[in-house]
Amino acid sequence: MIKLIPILILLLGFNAMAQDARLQVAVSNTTVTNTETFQYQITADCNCTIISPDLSDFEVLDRQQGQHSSSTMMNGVSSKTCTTSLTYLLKAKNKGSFNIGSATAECKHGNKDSEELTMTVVDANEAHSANEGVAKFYYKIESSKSVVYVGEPFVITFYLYTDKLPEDMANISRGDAVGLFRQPIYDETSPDHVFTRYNTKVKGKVYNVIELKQEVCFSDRAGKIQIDPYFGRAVEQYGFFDNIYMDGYSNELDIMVKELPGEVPEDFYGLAGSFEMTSEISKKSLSANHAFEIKVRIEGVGNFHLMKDPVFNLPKDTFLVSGPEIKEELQYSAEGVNGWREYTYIITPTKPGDYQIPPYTFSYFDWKEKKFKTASTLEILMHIKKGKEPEIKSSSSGNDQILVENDIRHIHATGANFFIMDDILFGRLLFWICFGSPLGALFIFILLRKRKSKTTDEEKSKIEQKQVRKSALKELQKLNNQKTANSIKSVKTILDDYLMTHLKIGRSALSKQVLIQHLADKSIAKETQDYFELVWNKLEMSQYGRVSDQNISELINEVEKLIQQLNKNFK
Amino acid sequence: MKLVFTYLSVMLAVVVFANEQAFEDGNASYEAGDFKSAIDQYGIAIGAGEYSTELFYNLGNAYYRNEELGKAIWAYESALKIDPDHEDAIFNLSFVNAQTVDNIDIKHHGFGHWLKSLIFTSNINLWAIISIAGSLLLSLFGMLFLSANSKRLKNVSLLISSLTLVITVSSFIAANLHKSQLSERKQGIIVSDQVDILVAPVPDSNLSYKLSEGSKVELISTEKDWLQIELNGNKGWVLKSDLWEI
Repeated sequence: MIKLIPILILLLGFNAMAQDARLQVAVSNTTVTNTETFQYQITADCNCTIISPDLSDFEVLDRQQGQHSSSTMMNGVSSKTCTTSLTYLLKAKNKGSFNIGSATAECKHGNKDSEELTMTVVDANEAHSANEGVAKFYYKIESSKSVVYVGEPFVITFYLYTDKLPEDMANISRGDAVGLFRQPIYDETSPDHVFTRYNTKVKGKVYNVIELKQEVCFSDRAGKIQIDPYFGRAVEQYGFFDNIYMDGYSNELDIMVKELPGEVPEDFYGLAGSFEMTSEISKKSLSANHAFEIKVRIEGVGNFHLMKDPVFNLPKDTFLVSGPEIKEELQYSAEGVNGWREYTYIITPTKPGDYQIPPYTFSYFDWKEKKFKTASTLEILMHIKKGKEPEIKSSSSGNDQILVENDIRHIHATGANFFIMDDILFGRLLFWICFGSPLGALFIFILLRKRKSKTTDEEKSKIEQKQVRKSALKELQKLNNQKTANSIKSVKTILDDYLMTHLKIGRSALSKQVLIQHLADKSIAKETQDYFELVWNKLEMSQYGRVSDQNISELINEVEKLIQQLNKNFK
Repeated sequence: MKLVFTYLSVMLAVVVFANEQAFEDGNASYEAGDFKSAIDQYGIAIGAGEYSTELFYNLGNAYYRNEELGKAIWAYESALKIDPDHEDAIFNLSFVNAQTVDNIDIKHHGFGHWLKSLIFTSNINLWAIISIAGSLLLSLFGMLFLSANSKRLKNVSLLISSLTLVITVSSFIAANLHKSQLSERKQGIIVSDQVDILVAPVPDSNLSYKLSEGSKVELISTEKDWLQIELNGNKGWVLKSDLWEI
């Protein structure tokens, strides 16, 4: 026994160790660039609450929480573990060295602090330049122009430089850029897309260059625009268990956007490029309350995404304008956005007269000629003749008025039926009792029916005999009280039924000799057999002559006595 | 025991009367143009756990008059949660929604709305009572079917039992849905102007997107002072103080 004490202490020690709070922290990479995102993960037991450290040196881009349970069996002993993890997606705010403080796990059996981590954040462009001509692969973005006017298009192209061709591209995502409108020139995620590829030499090293993404961009404001690094993930090799990836961020780009030169026209709102505008009217002369159409078509190349709907300066009390319906056919290319856009308005004049529809104009900056230009529709002269008044009929009341409500409807002073949640019957005990009781009764009924249907012929016969024993005596007593002309016949019927049931014979076998034989077979006492013969004879005799009430009563009593004697024997 | 019962009855009557009084006082304040006081009075009834379509509807009007559009939308949505067919609440909700930045047009027609109107009736116990009556009839006609000797009676009782079974199951499901509709809170309304929706429940975390006052969102989970929400598939975290649950 004494020898067992050290083993016991050892086991208790292990148990205490097992109960220690588990807390682990990890980062995906301890050295990152100032534009790169990285993961910081805290893992602890499920029954612990994780307190995150101060992450104010970093931007929190995402936060995910998850749990993982597993059970293991070792030497016949099973154990279960459950861990909870908190994963942050972070990005450094500045370059330098930063500490991520201790995370804490608050558990029932005590708290535990994690180790601190040190992150080194280096300049993205410096790190990127160092890779060129040295690294096996790297990603790069280039711009077609580094200085542009506001609204002038330029193209950003995202490349992968690699000495080994990848098997596939898994992910391409662009970096943020504030104040920039970007539109992809092609869909690189399409299964039909074929990536453009060529070879080039960088600092003496030959690379395969793969064009991953191309976007046409327009700046909406002047100043320096920073384009954050793009991210790429190429599959170097698909493996049986795991794939080998080529992950990386590109360099970042700065684009200088210049203010537009010269005096800015009043009707300029940011359009740049080269545009032509035409207009078309369906009718110039028509009756009042008849509609006509104006189509405005703008064609050219430029920043169509900024284009506003044309507005015609028409008197509101005379012209009802609906629309516009817009159709367009635009293509994105390295030159910008090419194509056309068509606006269709339906206009209904309500009063007769001659009207001038003033031209619609807008100014844009032509970046090729580096000056402002104005596009304009032609002035339209309209002749509106007298027409019928508009007919607006109410289908329900026949009242020619449309009621337009321009305020909320009033409060309701009455009819407030208050209730509290406890008033809801469903789910309460009372509901289950009321709902379940009838169904329970039906269930019991079905069970009883099923049980009854399972009884054997012998059991059924016994039940029937029992019922006949009870009913025969009852009915005889009833006959004794109400003596009638048919009483003898009824007594005979009762006795017949009794004998048929107990001796299991048919009506054809109801003769004295046969019955005596059956009684003898059933080992009925000789005295009872004799008594039966006596009563039977009396009954048969009584059926053929007139019998007094007293004799009927005696006969009934004798049959009753016979049945009682037979009952004793049959039991 | 009798004394306790009497005391409880009196207390219940006093509470109900007090809430009805608060409703009437709120209406009087509203009519007098004192909308803040009306909001306080309606709030007394709601704070006591009393619910009513008209109470939320009137509260919505008071919030609207007090120029609190988000809270007005919350009150109208709460009214429609109890009675999805409340015509004036539907009108006022679309009227107020049209004045919000996002101008969300919410459909109050179509098959889905018809089904909602059918299930979420103003009588909170209608479906529970129908399901109880259904189970009783089902039991009676079931027994009749099992014990009937006549073939015609058997057929008739089987037909009625089948119909009653369908009614009982349907009304049971409807009663369950109705209770969930009234007791669960799965949606919320943004009640502050231009609320930041963050990617994580941390004050320093990045902005996911912004929502304007009156936006209706789905609730996913909760963590301390934060609620995780979803709008058109976009998830994010919002401070509990900026969102009222419906």
